[in-house]
Amino acid sequence: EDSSVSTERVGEILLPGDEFCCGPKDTLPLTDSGKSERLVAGPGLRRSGDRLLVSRSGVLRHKEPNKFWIESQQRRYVPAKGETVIGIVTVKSGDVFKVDIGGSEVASLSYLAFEGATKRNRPNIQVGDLLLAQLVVANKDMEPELVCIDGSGRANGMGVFGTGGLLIKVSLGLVRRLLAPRSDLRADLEQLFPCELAVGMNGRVWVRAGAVQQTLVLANLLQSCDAMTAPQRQQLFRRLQQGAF
Amino acid sequence: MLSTRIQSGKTKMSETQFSRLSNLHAVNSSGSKSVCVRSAKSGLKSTLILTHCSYLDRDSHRSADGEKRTSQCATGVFKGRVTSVQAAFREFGCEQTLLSRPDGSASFVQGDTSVMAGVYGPAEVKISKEIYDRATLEVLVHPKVGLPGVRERSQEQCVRETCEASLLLSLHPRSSLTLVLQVLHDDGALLSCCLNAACMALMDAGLSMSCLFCGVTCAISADGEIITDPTAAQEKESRALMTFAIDSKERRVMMSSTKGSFSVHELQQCVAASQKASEKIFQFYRDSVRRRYSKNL
Repeated sequence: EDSSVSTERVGEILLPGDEFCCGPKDTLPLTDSGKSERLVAGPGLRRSGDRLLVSRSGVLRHKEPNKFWIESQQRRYVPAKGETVIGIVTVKSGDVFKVDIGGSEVASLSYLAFEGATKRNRPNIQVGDLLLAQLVVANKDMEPELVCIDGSGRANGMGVFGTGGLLIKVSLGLVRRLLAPRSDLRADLEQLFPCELAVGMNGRVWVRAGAVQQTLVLANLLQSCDAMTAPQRQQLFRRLQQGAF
Repeated sequence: MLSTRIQSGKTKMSETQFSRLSNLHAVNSSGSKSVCVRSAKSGLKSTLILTHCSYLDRDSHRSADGEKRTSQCATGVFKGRVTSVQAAFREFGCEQTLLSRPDGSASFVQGDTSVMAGVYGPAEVKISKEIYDRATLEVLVHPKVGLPGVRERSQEQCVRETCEASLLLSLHPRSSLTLVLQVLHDDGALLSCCLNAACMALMDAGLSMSCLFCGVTCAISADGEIITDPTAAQEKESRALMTFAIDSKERRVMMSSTKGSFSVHELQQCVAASQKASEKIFQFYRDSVRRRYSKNL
């Protein structure tokens, strides 16, 4: 009964143990010259022949032509290559820093992986500092590795945070909603007051606004957004604009 | 006493008996006439006492230890046929993500029995508990009052082995998963409530699982009636009490924990009743997850 066409099930809520068929014909048009492109099973899905097995509960999402994944609400971060995260420096040992990124292991960060850093010119980083960094090595068998430079050696927004601001922890689902292109949540936030947001894929959000009070209001709003529907959120934001601020 | 385990005549269950037992679930669920498992020795009705076997285990190191004994004197007791099966549940309910600190949490209520579960992980693991190719799962059961004892340890083992069979632990090697179960109130069917709360909490934490599981407790009363999801009073009056963990894919028995004496036929009937009752719980799981995700569809 579960073997209906995959594209029909997009948007449905699936549970671990569910499975569905995804033959090549319902993911690619018949006119396409390539016989059948391999199907891509994203987070929460496993392949088994031409069937997809669900291993996590959540909403099935699809991206043309052949990408499927399960969108779920999680709190614990599992490092993935290429993601930008907010880390806390925990240990300074020789030429690497150990950075807590909320995963099962601490990540390592070389002191040379900063813009303009050389053996003589070390970056000024203390234990307890917050930094935005990108994962270059992240798999289940190895220690995750971070860098604070992009491919061309530029900081590109990464590096140690300045003073002020507040770090909060939200669910991974909310982070993804904040970072999504044309995010309605972000659009709602922009209407409130000018603020600075740094969002890490590991569920950490750094907020800074003009005044400490505004920073706190923003932090509280973000943390409560998780359990609200869009109309509830918009109503709350409207009340806030009319109220104290 | 906790269980009427028979110490003498401890034998390991042979492979054939084991496969026969798992075959019988399939026969039962497909609705054809039930097959009686006869003991290899006597061919007569026999007492089969299984303690904490996991049928779905794929790893060979977790062998299923079963205890079997043919009892001559006891056969008279079991003559009374099972008259009726009540496959009804008390009201049950669940709430997910109710705690802020754990990575996944759930509370499950069955009648007056209530259990709260919290999952932490995949997190850092102690070197001594590290397993190189999979995550270490730790289950802690906290009783309502006092310190955990032997009873809680046995419940922990049942829940842990069920979770290990359904979780894809190899996805997170060298990490730890901790599942904490806090008993809020015990009014019968505690182990099944623990299993249900555990499954909901694992789902809430977003851990990868091959299938879901649920727990069903069956009690056989003195007059041979099978009661699913018994209350504490019904448990006390019962002659046998069994809890099964059922998987969501093929409705197979993943774990069984039994207490008291019963015939093989009664065991089969209880398994069939649990499999039937599990449908209701799995549907409930689906509905509650649907409700949870309806907010950000």
